[in-house]
Amino acid sequence: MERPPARRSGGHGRRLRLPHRSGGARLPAPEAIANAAGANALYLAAVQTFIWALNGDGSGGTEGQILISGMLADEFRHSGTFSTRVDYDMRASDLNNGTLAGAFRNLHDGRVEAHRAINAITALPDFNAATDDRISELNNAIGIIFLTSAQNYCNGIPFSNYDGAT
Amino acid sequence: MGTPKRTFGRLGLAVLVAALLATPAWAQTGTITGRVTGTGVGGGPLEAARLIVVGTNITTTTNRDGAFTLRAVPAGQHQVRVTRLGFTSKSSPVTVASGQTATIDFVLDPAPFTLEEITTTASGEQRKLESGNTVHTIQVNTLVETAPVKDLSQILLGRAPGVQVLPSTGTTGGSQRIRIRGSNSVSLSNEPLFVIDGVRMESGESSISVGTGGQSPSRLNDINPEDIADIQILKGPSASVIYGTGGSNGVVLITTKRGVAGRTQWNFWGEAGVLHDKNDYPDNYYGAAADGSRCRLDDQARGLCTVASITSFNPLRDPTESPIHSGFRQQYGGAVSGGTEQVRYYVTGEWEGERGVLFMPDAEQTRVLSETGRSALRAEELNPNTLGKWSLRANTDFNVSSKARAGVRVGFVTSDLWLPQNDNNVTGLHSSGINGDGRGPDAPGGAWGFFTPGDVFGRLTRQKVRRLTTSADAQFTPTTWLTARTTLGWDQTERQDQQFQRFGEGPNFSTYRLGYADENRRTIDVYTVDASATATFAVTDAIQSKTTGGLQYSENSFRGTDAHGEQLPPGSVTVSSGAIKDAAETNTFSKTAGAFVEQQFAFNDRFFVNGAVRVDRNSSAGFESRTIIYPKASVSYLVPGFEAGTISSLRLRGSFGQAGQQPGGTTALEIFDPLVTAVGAGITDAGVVINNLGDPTLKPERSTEFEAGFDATLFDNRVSVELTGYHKETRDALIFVPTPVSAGNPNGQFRNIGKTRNQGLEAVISAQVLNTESLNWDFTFTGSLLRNRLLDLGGQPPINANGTTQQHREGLPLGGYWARPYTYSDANGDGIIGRDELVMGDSLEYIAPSQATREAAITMSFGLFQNRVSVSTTLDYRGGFRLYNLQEDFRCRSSQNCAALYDKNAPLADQARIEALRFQGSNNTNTGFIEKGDYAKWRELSVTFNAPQSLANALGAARASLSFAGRNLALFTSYSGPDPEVNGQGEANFAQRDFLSLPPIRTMILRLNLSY
Repeated sequence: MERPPARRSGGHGRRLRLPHRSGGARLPAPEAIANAAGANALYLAAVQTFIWALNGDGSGGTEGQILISGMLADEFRHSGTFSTRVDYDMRASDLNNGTLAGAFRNLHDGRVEAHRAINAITALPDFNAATDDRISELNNAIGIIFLTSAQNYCNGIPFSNYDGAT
Repeated sequence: MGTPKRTFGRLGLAVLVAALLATPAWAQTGTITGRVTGTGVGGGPLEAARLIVVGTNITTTTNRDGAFTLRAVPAGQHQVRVTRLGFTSKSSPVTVASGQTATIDFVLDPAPFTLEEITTTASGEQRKLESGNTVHTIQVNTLVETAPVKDLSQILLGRAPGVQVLPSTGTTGGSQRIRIRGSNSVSLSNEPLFVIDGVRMESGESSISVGTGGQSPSRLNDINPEDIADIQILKGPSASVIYGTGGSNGVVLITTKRGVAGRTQWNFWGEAGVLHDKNDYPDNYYGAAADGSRCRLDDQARGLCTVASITSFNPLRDPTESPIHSGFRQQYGGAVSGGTEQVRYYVTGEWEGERGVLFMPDAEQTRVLSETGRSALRAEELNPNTLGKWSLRANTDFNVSSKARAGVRVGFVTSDLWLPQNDNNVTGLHSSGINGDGRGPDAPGGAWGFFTPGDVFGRLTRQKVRRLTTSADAQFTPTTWLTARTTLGWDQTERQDQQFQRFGEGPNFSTYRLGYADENRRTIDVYTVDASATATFAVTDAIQSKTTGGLQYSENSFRGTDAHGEQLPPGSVTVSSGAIKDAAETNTFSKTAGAFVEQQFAFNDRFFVNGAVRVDRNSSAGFESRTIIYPKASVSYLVPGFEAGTISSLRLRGSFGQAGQQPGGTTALEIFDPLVTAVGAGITDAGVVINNLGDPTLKPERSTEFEAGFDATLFDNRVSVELTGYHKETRDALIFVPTPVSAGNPNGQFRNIGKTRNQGLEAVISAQVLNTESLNWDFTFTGSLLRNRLLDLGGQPPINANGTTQQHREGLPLGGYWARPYTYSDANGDGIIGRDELVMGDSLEYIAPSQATREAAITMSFGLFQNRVSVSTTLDYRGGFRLYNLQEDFRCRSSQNCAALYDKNAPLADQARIEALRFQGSNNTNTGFIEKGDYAKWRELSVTFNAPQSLANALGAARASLSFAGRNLALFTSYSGPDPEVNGQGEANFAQRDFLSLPPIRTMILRLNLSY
């Protein structure tokens, strides 16, 4: 049996969103965050993305790496779809399985968002590496993600960066 | 080509100057009056026949007595032409003297086909003869009085070649997909554009924001079929270029009923009917060894056990357990129309109610009441699938002067729909019924797979809709050769989606029994502004010129808020009472402005050459180029020499055109999303995370279509044949290219890298087989062939359309089925296919298209005893495709309750597909469950008794009829599931599979029509 329908729609159920408008220029565009406040917003989101990657959403809708490692070790049993249970039993992360592929994507998302925030912060004119501890915090998150990847996945997994350029 | 702004300005100036210069020509005019009548069974005075003074823009329509008046006709010799659907057209000469009235009468003969039929598009009125395209017309106003149609999709189904209506369910309020000439967009919508009375309308196929498993309502079905006069279908870019961006999937033009001058006419109708679920749901099986433990044939083949007994049970058909009963529908309405030549009106109102086939069984009622300590069940628990709908409409037309007319149209719909949980859904009814234990109620977990109906019906979904569709149009004919038109329209839908499960009630899944409530509001606005002008000139005696220029503006606005609360206190279903609350907001806007110029030359009213250009500019942000040009050209030639003889007429036609489709307003932009970030215990702050990668080089995908064909009438216009071939290619097709999972979010990016092609043939054959006073017999065949191919995927690897089972791959149909082939043989002759008796293929191979490549429908109508009794029936066929029977796959794989898992008498092919599905390790494949989906359905039957005048008068009516009609009467197929027409994926773009859905059901209705 596949996963029952999400209780919420529109793709916004995965993360708690602030009320926002998503038309025309009502969403933040790159120029809106090319400043100190924007860089800090990227930093905050990167931290939250890292938390997501490790802890999941906390409600069982999206697994994080801590829960996944427990299931791979048969410490926990997945209560969702049959195909996901089978994939866990096989220790196989099928890219067509949204649950497992999603958790894997979220792990990489934590790394990519941390790099994005580091780039934004270090590009600020008044950036001071000696006093800005956000960089070390984000690099620490990246390090934990690499370690988690090594623990929970086989060797040879890719680590990609894609900025949308075609 | 200048900028659109400059182009619009020049066009407007030209129209104004032309109108002013022509003013003196008004001076010497006269009037033409007369009457139009018909011969044959449908004869007598013909209302709503259209008359035109040839070579001018002077037109009118007949009133209820068939009378007409053409005013302000320049003095001199003219030809007057009359056309009416279902009758031959005629032209007659008339001489008009200044200040005088000339009289001319017409008598028309019945004919199933006429090239004089009028098509009304954004560029004005055009005779079918003048167009190089095929335009299919469905006369709805007479259809709804007799045929078993309850919504717009049922009107379209089987009545137009190349128009695929794909109903996905028998759920009351369920929806469908509509595709014209197949699907050609990989990642954007393939739904046609719907226009009602010249106004673009919201027609979302999957219009709900809470989950029901698969089935969801369509806004298209808000439109009341009783309000519709006719539907005209422009099938592709070669015909719809005037609609520009948005017209690439074809355009469906809906015209609502109008008042006819003459005596006031009252119509009343009442309809009642029953809904029967006649679907053949599979029994659930359990095979046991002698000790009662589960024993499968595969186990037996391996010597692990022997199947000693097989028990079966079907909770969906068991009289005690089943929640499936007869449903009921009723519909009552009235309309009044009439008026004078100056003011005509049509006002109607209707209430429709339907109770679906689901009803909580008695034993479950008792159990639920006992468990929850209540004294009574709520109505929505007893019947979780009901619809109540009010439809109101007022259309008014004014003849402001002999040169100006105007109209105001207002339609209002309010509906209240309750939907059940079903389809791909652990809390769905069919998922529990079809995945139950074959041992029935005696099984350890009971007869139901997951939850009993009493619990399933405790998770409730409701959608309330209020919709106002209004428009105003005006036409001004300042001179005999110039007509200006304008249309303003607004279609607003207010939608309220609710879903809730009370504390301690409903299915005990996840945290649902702690109670939760969703309350989502949507406001969808579509605005339309059209203005155009047509100038008609006689270049020479033989050559007529018609030039049309126009401006169009459309704006779509979607505003939505979601509210969610969970952990509700007992008895509450409000979001605000939840211990945990969440909210979200979604808003999208898009605007498109376009201008077009269309030029037509007519040579001796026999050879027509058309050319048009449409320029579009849209509001989508981030695009480097926001202006796009779409051209069109067509020819139509009425071949001379066929007026008498076997062939009554022959027309050859051909056309070329382009149209487009664009992605959402922010697709090209790199944008970020707000993300709430926990920065401490109970403290949050606002961060931003990438939402869309964007691509400034994006542009609308562009479809180019060539179409050619002929229309012929034979045997004194009693037989007509239309044959059309088309070739449609979409370049710069927008593909949502997945990004590497190892690159994080977003999970994809739109790119203009694809190319698709649809080719096909369409045919319509209509015949008046007999037309006598005692018996008339009409026959219509519609058929189409479709070949769809993805030509280019821009070097990207194949894209999954439904897991790996359906894929978009170059050189093959979009969304085609893929699976691993295998062969089998009963090598040891034990009558059982064991796991070692299969040879598996090395890799996935293409199996078949998932969409029908062949369609046909036959409709036959009979009129008996001077049409006192009329009978009409339709049989339709769809073939050349396969359907993934995931339902049986799932039963054999996970629920282990399919027959072939235990029964040695099951066909070897059925045993083999289970072995291939379950017991081949990493080579497991669902190949055997991707079944041939061809089917034929006896779709409609209606028998109508037209009461004799004396009986109608006795009822105080001028006309009375009683119709008995049925829908979905029989299914002919080799498909092993209940119905290959179903789609457990609802209205998904390509995903197609049979999975735990309520298939289409049979409807029988009785309807009384009274006219006063």
